Amino acid sequence: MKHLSDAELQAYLDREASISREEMEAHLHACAHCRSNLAAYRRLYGGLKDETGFLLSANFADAVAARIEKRGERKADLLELSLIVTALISGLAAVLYFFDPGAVFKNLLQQGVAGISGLMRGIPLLQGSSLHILLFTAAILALVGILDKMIFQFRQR
Amino acid sequence: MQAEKELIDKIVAGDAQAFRVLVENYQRLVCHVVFRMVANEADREELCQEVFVKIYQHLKNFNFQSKLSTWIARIAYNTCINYLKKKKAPLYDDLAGTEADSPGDRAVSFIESVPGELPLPDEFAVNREIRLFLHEAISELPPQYRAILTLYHLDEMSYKEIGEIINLPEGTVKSYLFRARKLLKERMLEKYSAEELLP
Ligand SMILES: [Zn+2]
Repeated sequence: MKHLSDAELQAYLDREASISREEMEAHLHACAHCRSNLAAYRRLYGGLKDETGFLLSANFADAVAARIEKRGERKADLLELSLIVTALISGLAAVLYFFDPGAVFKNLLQQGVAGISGLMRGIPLLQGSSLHILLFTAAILALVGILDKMIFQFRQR
Repeated sequence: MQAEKELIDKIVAGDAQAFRVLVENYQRLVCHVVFRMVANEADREELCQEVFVKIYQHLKNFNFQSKLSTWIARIAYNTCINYLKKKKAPLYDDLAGTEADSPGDRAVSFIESVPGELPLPDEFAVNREIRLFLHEAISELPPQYRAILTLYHLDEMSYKEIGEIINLPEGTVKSYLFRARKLLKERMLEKYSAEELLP
């Protein structure tokens, strides 16, 4: 008598359609050797379905949420920092664009403390119409305002 | 599927409550994979958290080409493999290696240390003993085999899905599953008589 193979026994418990269950059951009825093999497989299958010990703590979802929030904050902090750096650089660029630092320095050297007026002369736009002063101030204020609003929004998130 | 898509859209849009629902829906699956693959109890829960952080970060890239469960299990599997690599655990051991060290393993010594003079253990105790023995035997298999056993038996995934998760052809998944179960069955028959194994 040919015993049932491991492949057949596993297929039997996997309920695969490729095997003839009746034939196998007839053999199992008559054969203690294959019955004990099947019993071992049954135990194994039961054990593999056993979830004992697979348990996360009750506040697992909270812990994950907290970790994600923390990451978000770190990201927002980084963004805030980059916004501040951008503001500084554009502020500096604006100063360099509107002022003529070389002329300011030269005037200061030439005229000493009295060079306050020289400072004024170093700003060519200030010597023009007062419209330029207004535009300059408005541009800086708008820039500061926009950056501040962005920073505020990221803090809120 | 539709409900899942809506859930994902909400999460990507920043809905924290929706993400919590996803965590609750899939924490069992992630826990199965991680707990089966990582023996170190202190690190397991942390790893499960890490898996969900990754899911959150990459969810916007999920393209519905596979089932969400398959995608999530793959992240869990890869996270564990990376962890084991870092810990320098042997990853690609063959089953032959684990067969060789069967005498003197911990489960056996645990069971043999039960004093013989006590009254016969009741059915519950025998079941518990067999369960512990099995648990130990499974934990000695290489990680891929453990993952396959878990995904097939606990999460009822198909060979095809398991293949996608651990990046192996379907046929290989099937033969690994067969070999692992045959080996475990042999271990059990070495240890227990047929009567003890009957329910
Ligand atoms: Zn037989």
